Amino acid sequence: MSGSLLKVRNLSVEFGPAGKGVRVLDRVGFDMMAGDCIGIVGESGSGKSVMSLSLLRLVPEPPGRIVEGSVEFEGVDLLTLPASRMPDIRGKDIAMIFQEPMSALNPVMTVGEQISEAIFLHESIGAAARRARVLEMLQLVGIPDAEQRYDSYPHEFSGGMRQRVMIAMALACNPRLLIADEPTTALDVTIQAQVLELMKQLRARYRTSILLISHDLGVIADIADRVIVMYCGRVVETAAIDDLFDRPAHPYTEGLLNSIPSRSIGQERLYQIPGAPPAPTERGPGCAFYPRCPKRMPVCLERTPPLLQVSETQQAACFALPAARP
Amino acid sequence: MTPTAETLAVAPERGVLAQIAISIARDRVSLSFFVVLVAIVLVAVFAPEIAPYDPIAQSLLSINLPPSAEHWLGTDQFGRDVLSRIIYGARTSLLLGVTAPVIAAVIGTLFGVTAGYFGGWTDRIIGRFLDIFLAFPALLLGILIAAALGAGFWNMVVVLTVAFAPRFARIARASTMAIRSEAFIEAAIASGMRTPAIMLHHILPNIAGSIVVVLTLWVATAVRLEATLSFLGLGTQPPKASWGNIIRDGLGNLFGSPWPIVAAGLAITVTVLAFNMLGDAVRDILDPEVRDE
Amino acid sequence: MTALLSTEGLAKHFAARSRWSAFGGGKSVVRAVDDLSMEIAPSETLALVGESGCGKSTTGRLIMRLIEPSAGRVVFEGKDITDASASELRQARRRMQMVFQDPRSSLSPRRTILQTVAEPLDANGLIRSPAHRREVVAELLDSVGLSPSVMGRFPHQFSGGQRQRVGIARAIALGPSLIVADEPVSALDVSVQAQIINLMQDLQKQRRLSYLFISHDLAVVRHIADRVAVMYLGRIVEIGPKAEVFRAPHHPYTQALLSAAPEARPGRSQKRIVLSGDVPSPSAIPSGCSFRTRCPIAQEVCARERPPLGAVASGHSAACHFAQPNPLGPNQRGRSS
Repeated sequence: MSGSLLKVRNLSVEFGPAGKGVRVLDRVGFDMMAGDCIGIVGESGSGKSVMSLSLLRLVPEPPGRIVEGSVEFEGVDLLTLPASRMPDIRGKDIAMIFQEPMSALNPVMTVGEQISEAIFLHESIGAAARRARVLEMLQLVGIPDAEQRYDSYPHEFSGGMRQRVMIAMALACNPRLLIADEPTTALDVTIQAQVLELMKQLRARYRTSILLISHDLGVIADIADRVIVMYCGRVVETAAIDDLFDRPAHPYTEGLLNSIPSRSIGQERLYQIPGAPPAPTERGPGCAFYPRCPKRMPVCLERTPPLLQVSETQQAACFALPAARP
Repeated sequence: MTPTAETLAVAPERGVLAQIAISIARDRVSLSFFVVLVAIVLVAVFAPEIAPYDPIAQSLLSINLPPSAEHWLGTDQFGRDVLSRIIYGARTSLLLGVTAPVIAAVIGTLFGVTAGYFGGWTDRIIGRFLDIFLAFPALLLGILIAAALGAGFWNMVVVLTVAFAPRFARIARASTMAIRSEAFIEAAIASGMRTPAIMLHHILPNIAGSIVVVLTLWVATAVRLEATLSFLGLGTQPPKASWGNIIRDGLGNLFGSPWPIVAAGLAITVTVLAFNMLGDAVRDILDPEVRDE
Repeated sequence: MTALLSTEGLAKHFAARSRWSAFGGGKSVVRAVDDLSMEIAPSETLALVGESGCGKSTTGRLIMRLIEPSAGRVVFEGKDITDASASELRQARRRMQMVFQDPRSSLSPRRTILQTVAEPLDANGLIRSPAHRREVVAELLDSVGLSPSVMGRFPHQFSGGQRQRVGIARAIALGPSLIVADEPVSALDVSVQAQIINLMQDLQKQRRLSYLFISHDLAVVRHIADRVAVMYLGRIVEIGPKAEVFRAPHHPYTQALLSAAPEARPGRSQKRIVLSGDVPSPSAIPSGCSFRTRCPIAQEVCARERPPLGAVASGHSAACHFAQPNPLGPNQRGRSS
């Protein structure tokens, strides 16, 4: 492990008109070391996708707005950087892959040209060298007959192959951080297994740091070494992967783990968290999990619990934790 | 109650008309256009009571007069009171402008929904006919049919209906096809609903929004087309007043006496605009997802 | 045990017109479902698993006769409904209902919850008066865990989980014996998913329902199913009691599928079997065994002969020439837990 790669502090995003905007991301903070693979898990509405977009300042403005916080990437705060500098960082230092590989690829350009363009944007190398690099990338991500596939269009690829192309494009400039937003959600299980395998190999080979956003704890467990659990726009727990699965500290994490069918084999009924997450407009000052929480206390309604150290590798935002008791 | 059953405040159930009324009253722009529209309709209905003069009474003594206390909008080249002609013209223009598109919408929707719902051969046969009609611009088709049938109010209704119906059918067909593939249609079939009931309860309510918007647009177009056809001598026949032939009659003396043309043009513009605005409002109201915003 | 529902040689072939078919060029045939035979017993859950395009959803719609089969028969409650007339079909559908994947598109946005849930009752003329209608719908809503006070609301005012409850209320309105559930929880968040699965299991017990549970999620299937049928390219490749199929899969595809599913436990992926390549298009299904192009143990015979679905244990069949427990070698995940 070398130095700090990404330092996110107090990152808050609002949607809607200033003054009466709805806060979808509330003072999120975490650290990432070079070489880390961090999984960000949360259900719909947890703010995990907005968070990943705001790291690269890709939140659509309006209606979205980053209202406070800092995103320090290798010591430089991306949020205070002039907007004109961002394109140099996107794709070059930090690359991103999305859930739906079809809509992220241009249907009227060949796959080879698109990867080639990604390289062209960031590196001044000749056309021949670029083509060679593209072919190398296509082979690297396991696309057979790279020479012929260079001239194929996205629709000629299957979903899994398109996601491989996306990965090739993302890795073409050798980024230091890869943000993968639900990269396997649109894929079938056997294809998902292939893509996860590929990401692990690439990580081992290039030591690329990965920020993996997913709703699927199975996918996270497969690849990440640290997990950040988000609920209603806030980080509620962060822990090393084994700690999280063996000793979840936050009641939401515990409930989430317990309601996964594969973890309750042989049980008659699945554990269920009652109710549904509140809409962003219905969130009060206290803990957002309060209405669904089995351990709720009066204090949870009044104040937002801060992230507290549970162990050396684990933090959780809950007043019911032993550490939180006076 | 189980812990999962969240209590939701219950909105009182209201009729669609009541909802439309409430929404229009709430939005100031819609409200003002709605008032304008009601005013135009009232003027048309009570024309004999409102009009200060007989719209076809000629007077050689007072031709091409500018606006004055007696003749608010002046007189035309036959000495007829322009205001009275505009008021009576509203009857012809509105009656035609509403009747023809409504008939066209009913017929067009019927064909469009049938084609879109059943697909296959039904769709292909209806589709070919639509294509043929759609190949002609509405105006050209109107002129052709009017020339064949001759002038007159009901002939014009036929002309406009034939010209508009395929356009409604096309929109109804496309919207129906989109709705047809939704799972709730399968659910309705699976629950034993018969096809006509599915069309009535599931297809129509979901396509009504787009049909109504298009309807208001075509009402506007019909008012314009009536004017055009009358202007070309194929529509309302003189001396009967319609906004179209007021413009035609006034064109010969545009510079000497612009009042008829300006007044009729303004009447058409305001009416068309009012219908368009109403269309937008109605569409929003018919959509429960927008209505709540 | 008499089956509640059985299918025999059920098939659905679509004619996919190629770009040149207007010039007399070839029409290719898409075999979405082929030669599918299975049974569901009363109060039983049969899970139909497979990846996208394997024909599992088409199978559900064939059974509901929402689409017409190209071949084969469907027998439901002792009656052959394959050639049933429209009115016979309406009778059969009173006992056979469907729950859909996307609770957003399966509820009409223009209809209130009352109208939606009452729809099957209205369509079958089971409503005596408006008051009776509200009373019945209130009971149905209550049984799926929704407050009857929501009757006048529209679907968009509900969360995904609540919408799915409405969809389930509609499905049980006519008192069916079979519910075809097409990916009923895959559009839902994990915590909500558990609620819906529990609800479906409660309803099954209370109302003696049978489920045809169509899903790609093996973890969910493992929880809810009594028996499992695995589909690949339109055919059942393995079918058997859940415990058997999960403990000792006999078809290499089943084994690979089981091992590919990510488990919510760290460090379990070491022994994963990763299949190479993609699923072939259903318009160009390989000769012989359709899985042979991706199968790690395929032999020459697999290209020549299609393996029949043969019994490997009591009630457990697999369609593989080399069917044996865990044909791809030992796999930790199959046995663990």
